[in-house]
Amino acid sequence: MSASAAGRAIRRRWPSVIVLAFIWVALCLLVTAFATQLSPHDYQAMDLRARLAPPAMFGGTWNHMLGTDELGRDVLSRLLASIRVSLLVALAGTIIGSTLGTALGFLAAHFRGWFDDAVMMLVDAQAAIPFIIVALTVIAFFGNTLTLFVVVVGLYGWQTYARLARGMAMSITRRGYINAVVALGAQPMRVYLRHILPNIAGVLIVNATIGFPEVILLETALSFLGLGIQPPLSSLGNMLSYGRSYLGNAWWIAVLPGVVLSLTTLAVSLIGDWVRDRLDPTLR
Amino acid sequence: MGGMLILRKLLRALLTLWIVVTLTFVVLRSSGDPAIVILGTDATPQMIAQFHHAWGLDRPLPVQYASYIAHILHGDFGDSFLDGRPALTVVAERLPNSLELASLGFVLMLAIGIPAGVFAALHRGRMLDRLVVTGAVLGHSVPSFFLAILLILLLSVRWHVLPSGGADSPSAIIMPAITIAAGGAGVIARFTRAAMLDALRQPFVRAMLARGMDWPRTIRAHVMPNAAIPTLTMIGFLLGGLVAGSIITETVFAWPGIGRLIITSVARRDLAVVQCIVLLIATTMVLANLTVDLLYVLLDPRMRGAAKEDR
Amino acid sequence: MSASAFTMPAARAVPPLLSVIGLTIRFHTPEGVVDAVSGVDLEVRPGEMLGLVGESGSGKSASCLAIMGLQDPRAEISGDLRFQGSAIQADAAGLRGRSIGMIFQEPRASLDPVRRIGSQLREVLALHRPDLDARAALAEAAGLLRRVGLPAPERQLAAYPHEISGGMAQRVAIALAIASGPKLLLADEPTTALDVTVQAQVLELLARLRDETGMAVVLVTHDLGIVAQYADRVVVMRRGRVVEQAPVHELFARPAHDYTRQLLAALPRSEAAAADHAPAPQLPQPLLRVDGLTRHFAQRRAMFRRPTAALRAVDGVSFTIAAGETLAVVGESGCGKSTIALMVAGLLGMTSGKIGFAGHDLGAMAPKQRRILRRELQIVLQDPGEALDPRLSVFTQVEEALLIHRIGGASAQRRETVVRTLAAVGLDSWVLDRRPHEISGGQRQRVSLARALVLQPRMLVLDEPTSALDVSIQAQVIELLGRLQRERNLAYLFISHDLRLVSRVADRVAVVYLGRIVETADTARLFAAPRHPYTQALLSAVPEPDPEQRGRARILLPGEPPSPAAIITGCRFRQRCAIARPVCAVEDPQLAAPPDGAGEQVACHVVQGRS
Repeated sequence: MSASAAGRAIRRRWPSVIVLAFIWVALCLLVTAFATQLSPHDYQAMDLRARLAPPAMFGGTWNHMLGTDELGRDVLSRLLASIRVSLLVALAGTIIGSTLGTALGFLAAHFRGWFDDAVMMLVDAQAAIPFIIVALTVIAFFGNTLTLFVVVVGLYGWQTYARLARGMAMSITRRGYINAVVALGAQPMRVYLRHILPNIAGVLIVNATIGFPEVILLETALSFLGLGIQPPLSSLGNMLSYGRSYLGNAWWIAVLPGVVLSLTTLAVSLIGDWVRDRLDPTLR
Repeated sequence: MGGMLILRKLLRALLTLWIVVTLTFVVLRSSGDPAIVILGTDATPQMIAQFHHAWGLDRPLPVQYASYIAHILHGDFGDSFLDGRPALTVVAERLPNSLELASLGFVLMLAIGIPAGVFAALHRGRMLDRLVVTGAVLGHSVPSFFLAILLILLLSVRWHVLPSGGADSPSAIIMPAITIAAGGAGVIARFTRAAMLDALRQPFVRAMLARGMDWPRTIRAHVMPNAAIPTLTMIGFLLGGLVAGSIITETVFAWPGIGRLIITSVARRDLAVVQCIVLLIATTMVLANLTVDLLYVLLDPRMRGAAKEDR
Repeated sequence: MSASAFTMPAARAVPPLLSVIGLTIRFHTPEGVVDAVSGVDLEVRPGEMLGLVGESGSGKSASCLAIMGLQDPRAEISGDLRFQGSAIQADAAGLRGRSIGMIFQEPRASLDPVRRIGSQLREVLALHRPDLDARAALAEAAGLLRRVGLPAPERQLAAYPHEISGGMAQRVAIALAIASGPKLLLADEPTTALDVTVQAQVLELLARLRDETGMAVVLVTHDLGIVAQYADRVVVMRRGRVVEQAPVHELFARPAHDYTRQLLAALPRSEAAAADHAPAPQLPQPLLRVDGLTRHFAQRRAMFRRPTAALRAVDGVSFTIAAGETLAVVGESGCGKSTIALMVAGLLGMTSGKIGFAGHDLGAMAPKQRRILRRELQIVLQDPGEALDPRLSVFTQVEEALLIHRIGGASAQRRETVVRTLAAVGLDSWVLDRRPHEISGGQRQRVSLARALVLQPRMLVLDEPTSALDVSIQAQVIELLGRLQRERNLAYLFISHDLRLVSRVADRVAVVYLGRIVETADTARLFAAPRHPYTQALLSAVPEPDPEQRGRARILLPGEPPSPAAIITGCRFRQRCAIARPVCAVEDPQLAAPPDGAGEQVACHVVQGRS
């Protein structure tokens, strides 16, 4: 009786969808860490005798469990390599964006005045223009290198962190406990790093979780359009892009990365929403 | 009423445009010789010299900047190096196609998203709500290019119902429009739902009931107008998504609009065209946001009050 | 009050208007079944004003909502609810808004923010008075506003809720509630969000409407003063149960239940308490000397916004406080009292003026010296829930004060200091590892105090230190403050809006109106014989928790405290003043001792004998 009550309590706290989402994300992280070790084949190795082989369940062999592409490369291995690249780029991008945005937000909140105005103007300008346009412009003019690409992806979304960090720092400074610490004689560094940042970190992390799928989508969209990750590296977007040409005779090349991509963004979105709802029950 | 506020919004819009133009200039200047960038690497020295002179690149930077802005203001974005015609002409040719697709997608998006959000909020926690929320999360998570591929795979490759691309038959617009609408509809459904729930939580709802008003009337006359205001602010954001969605969708479905044009131009570094499209989209977005802001002032008396206080 | 005629024995025979028997409101939560209200019995008789009192969480508001069928949808309601003898349906169909009206605590929030007031009134009239045509409805709407005492009703009809003040919004809410001519009005903390002078206006309005229409009013409140002054009968609630009900005179004279006695004992009574204070001897060298303190706020400067006239939040305030002395600064919201506190505590820069502390001019000191001196001048903030960092343990937060100033020695020594300081504010060492949300509001305020005391200050700025606490906790904190002051010879700058409280803690009082001190005097003197017309009105607006004082004439101020953005020429109080003379419109009165004074200082031409 009490065991089942405890079980019910756990299920209420951890809905099964969320558990599945966490499992999926954990799997993806595992793949990101050990893609090379987990791959049955080298993701670039061609096997011209086994081109366009279907997955095992659709008449293929277990040697190429998820089939092969037009050059006979193992789809599973390419998928694992692509997950790694897509996740790493998105992760790097999120870290760049959140750090930059939070720092600018704090500086704007602290110094106010013209600096604040300038930051907010940039925030507004960036919010007014679809980011993909900015990314396309930069890539068009400066050419496409991996470093530049990661920086471009990193610039995505900084304005949401800047706005959040600035707004919350300002409102929290008006809150009692910051006043109390300042009254005790604390210096700004101590106030921002020890009291403000830890108190808004939850919201920033939730924002990062909710923004992460968008960063993945930006990366894959650009790669899909041929303007992101370049061969020989492979991203989920690339795979979808060239798989498009084989929809008639080898659907798996495009559909499998698409499913992986959708599941990943879905899982991270669900977790983000769930964490947000738990932090702020009034939003439910 | 609120004249000061409107003026301020207008100035802000102009300022944003100025920032965009300036950033384009900075990008253009710092990415190498603009003559080569604009004319392409196979330009002859005479062409380059001519270009330098025409755009004033042989003069000091501030003059160049002024000349650049003057050119932009005259609609001169340079010539497409692919077919030698002015970039604006190339872009204008494609514009009607894009507008047609985007407006159909936008209408679909609102027609699905808003009612779904309202009904979900009113049936909060029940089956319909869960269905809408799940659908919205799915719509948001499945990337548009994957949705496009699935649609092509099923409707064109398997069942041969619809053409897989181009703009030759009237039915060709259906799949691209669905693709564009799907993600945005999810976003707007969620946002409308949240705005409705927020309005439902306001103390005045309980007060209305306490004054003897019935539930349907309270919803219709008080909750929905209050929820409409924040929902409106979403539209600017949605338009941004619409532009991004158009670029991808047009590319996948080979729809001859400016979205596809910008991708081919970026790939071939036809920078005059890229620049023209970027500024065109930026202007559209800024104008759209301005319209939304003004509508906001019109709909929310509290905004007008704020404007009055300023004076 | 003439109203008592409705409730005295003759009325007993009349069947009750509303009867509630065994009302229980139950919630099924993950933690188990919780009864917010359990087995409440009460009765409302026609035309009576029933006071329903209790501290937060006592279930008084929940009961009212349940009567209206407006409870939380997750709540399970049981009990026998009857209105005029017939059972009330679950959604109070046919009664809600017709025979029973209700008003709420946040008046502005109870109006639709995007609809004009006239439109909301006409909507409600269309609901209850379908016989009225458009023109008649408009006239009726204006008439309703006139009945609730709104000036220029025709103009107010076109206003949006955000354009009117909180007091006016509550009047509009009352107008909406009485539009249908209800027999019963449930008023849920109707004045809690309002200033004391406005509170008096609204309560008088409710009493007048009751007298005029004969409708019964249930006045839900936490304030025993309001009950003593306005209710005919009182129901005391605690933790979801009724602990006592009695006619008001009987309840205050002979409280039957322990809890009621506790509540009454915890109440500061202004006049009785003020007599306890002997005037503090003025020491030659005050600890704190504030001179011409001024703070102007530029009004929301942002890009493209034309700079407007500065908002003069604090406009030339001077006072001194000696060691061991308490100066109370009182005033209504927006008068600048909190701004004064923040400036004295160094949390907000001043526009001009001088703050001298222990003989040093704080403004002229090098930052480093000032930091050291600031250790001795600490602040305790209003809301203890907000004043503590929610993530850090009590120990960490009290210790942090020592760490910031690099005092207190080694870790073990610091721990000992923290434990000793917590003990001084009456907290055991079990709180050390607790986080703020794990301890009660009163304990949090003690922690807040300990954090300030650990630096061994000579003076504390107390910014509304008890206004977020329930009455019984409030009394304990006040007692603690008194003990600490005696033990450590602390000086207090006590900021408060609560005159009853001030009468109990302060040696001297400064009354602030629109950024200026209008009167300052020894506490006993001020409460016994207020001189400034604003002080008089303020004191008279405080509902005394003593029903025997009902006969006392009330001075009702017209209007509401204006915004500091709209300071007028001459005396800033003159438009609400009953004794204003021509000179008041021209000359700004300065704080000075009146010719017939006994130590007090008043900023009023009339009191100073000018005409």
